[in-house]
Amino acid sequence: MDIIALSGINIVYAVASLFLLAAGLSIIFGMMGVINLAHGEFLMLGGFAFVLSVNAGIDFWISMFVVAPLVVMFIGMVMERLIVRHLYGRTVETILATWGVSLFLIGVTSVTLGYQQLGVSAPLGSVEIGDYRVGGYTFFIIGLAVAVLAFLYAILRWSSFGLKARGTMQNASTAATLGVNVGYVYSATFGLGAAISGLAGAAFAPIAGVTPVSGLTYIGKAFITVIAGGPLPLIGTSTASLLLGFINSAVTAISTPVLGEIALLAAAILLLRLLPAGITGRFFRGGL
Amino acid sequence: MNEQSLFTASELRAGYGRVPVLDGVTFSARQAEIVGLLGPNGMGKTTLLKTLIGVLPCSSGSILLDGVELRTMPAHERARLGIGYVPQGREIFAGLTVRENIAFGAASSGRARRAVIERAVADFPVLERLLDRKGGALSGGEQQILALARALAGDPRVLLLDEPTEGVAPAIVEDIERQLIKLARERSLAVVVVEQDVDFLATVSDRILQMQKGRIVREVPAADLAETDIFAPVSQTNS
Repeated sequence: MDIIALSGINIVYAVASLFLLAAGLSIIFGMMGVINLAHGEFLMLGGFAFVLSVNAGIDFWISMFVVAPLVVMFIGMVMERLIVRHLYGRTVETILATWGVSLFLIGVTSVTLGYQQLGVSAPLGSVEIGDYRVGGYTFFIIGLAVAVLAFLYAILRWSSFGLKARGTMQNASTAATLGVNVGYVYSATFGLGAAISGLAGAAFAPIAGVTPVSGLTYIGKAFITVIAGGPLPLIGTSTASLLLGFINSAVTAISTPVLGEIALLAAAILLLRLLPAGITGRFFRGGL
Repeated sequence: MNEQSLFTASELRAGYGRVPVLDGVTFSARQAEIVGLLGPNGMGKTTLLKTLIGVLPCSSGSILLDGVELRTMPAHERARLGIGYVPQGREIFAGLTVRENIAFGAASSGRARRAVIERAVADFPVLERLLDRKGGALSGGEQQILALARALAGDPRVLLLDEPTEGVAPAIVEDIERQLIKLARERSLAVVVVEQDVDFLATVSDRILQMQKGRIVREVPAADLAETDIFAPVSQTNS
């Protein structure tokens, strides 16, 4: 019984992790259509901002929920203003430019912080489940994923900014003729995606540590999840996380983590073969 | 331009890249006045409206709203100052609901969303049963009414309409005619409407201007419109 509960927790944790890794990209790529190859570096920068902030004596939770998102949001908005804004609608140029930014950020962090792993201990102790112990931070990651999903849904569905963002992404020219400053909306939406990535990077730093190349281990999974999710950024990313996270975790439980990763990739390929437009290209139409 | 003009365009020149389309357009509109713009395809009517709202830049000339120069302002600032625009083809946000489309029109005005929706439904009762439907699921006529309601949600002082009857059923065209006249009078709106439907223009317009080759070539009295050949070349300029 205990092992079943533990497996269930591991599966939910894998789903939550996948969603957190992809949530920022679901805004920047899923909603805005920007293929941001620097997404992994947004996660990495969030991790570094968090760890350095904690090491500087700032409270753990303030570092995670305020410092890391704000730092990465600022970097993201500068990147949007200086580079991405000039490339909307030009896919190949965007890929090349964001790849360049990715290499630049890896280089800058390697030079300034060194090629070493930094980290902080995960708080919240552990929880006993029968004969097993599960880290309290595992439950925090699950709760954080739910909170991020609810936050993004609420802001996009009910806020004035969310309405402007959704309309602007559909037709920027018409949005402008209705009084919306589309440059601001693009910048703020990109910043929102970057901030969520920064938060996710900070959340994973106590578990995985952070190095200048941490982003490379995250970016593939994030893109696979958002692409498999299809055109609706939030519902798509969350349902793809549910499906792929479950497969990854279940196969890992009965074999090895490497086979779990292979199973995740195989499932994504099969899914896109059967549903070329992703999950929400076929189901859940009309949501967010 | 007379002293009562709310909205004035003077010697406007604009085009696409190096191809000039507008060649010195001059006209004005007063409060509560509906000005019709008539002319064959390719004469610059749609380009004129796009230039007035700011989607297209103009190379020279002047656009005044109540004495304020708009020419160098981006589209969103012109809209906030009171220019409403309903583009050709409606450009409804297909993925937003009718309610959200209307609210979008007032999103930058700071007006309460509920009040905006209530007024739109009062103006166009047909929208009430459609409020939760996606914009892309509406018929052409319903979309046209929605586009009008969305533009009016921003409380404009000048309304620019591009081909509002295109692809719209006759019964809905009559609704649009009635509402347009009523709203222009009640809200002191200056309306500039581009249209190829001569009957529609004759019904709603106080003045009708004929465009040819990027210029306004004459004013046609509404009563004479049926007998006027709008495709015939006009040599004199009378703006």
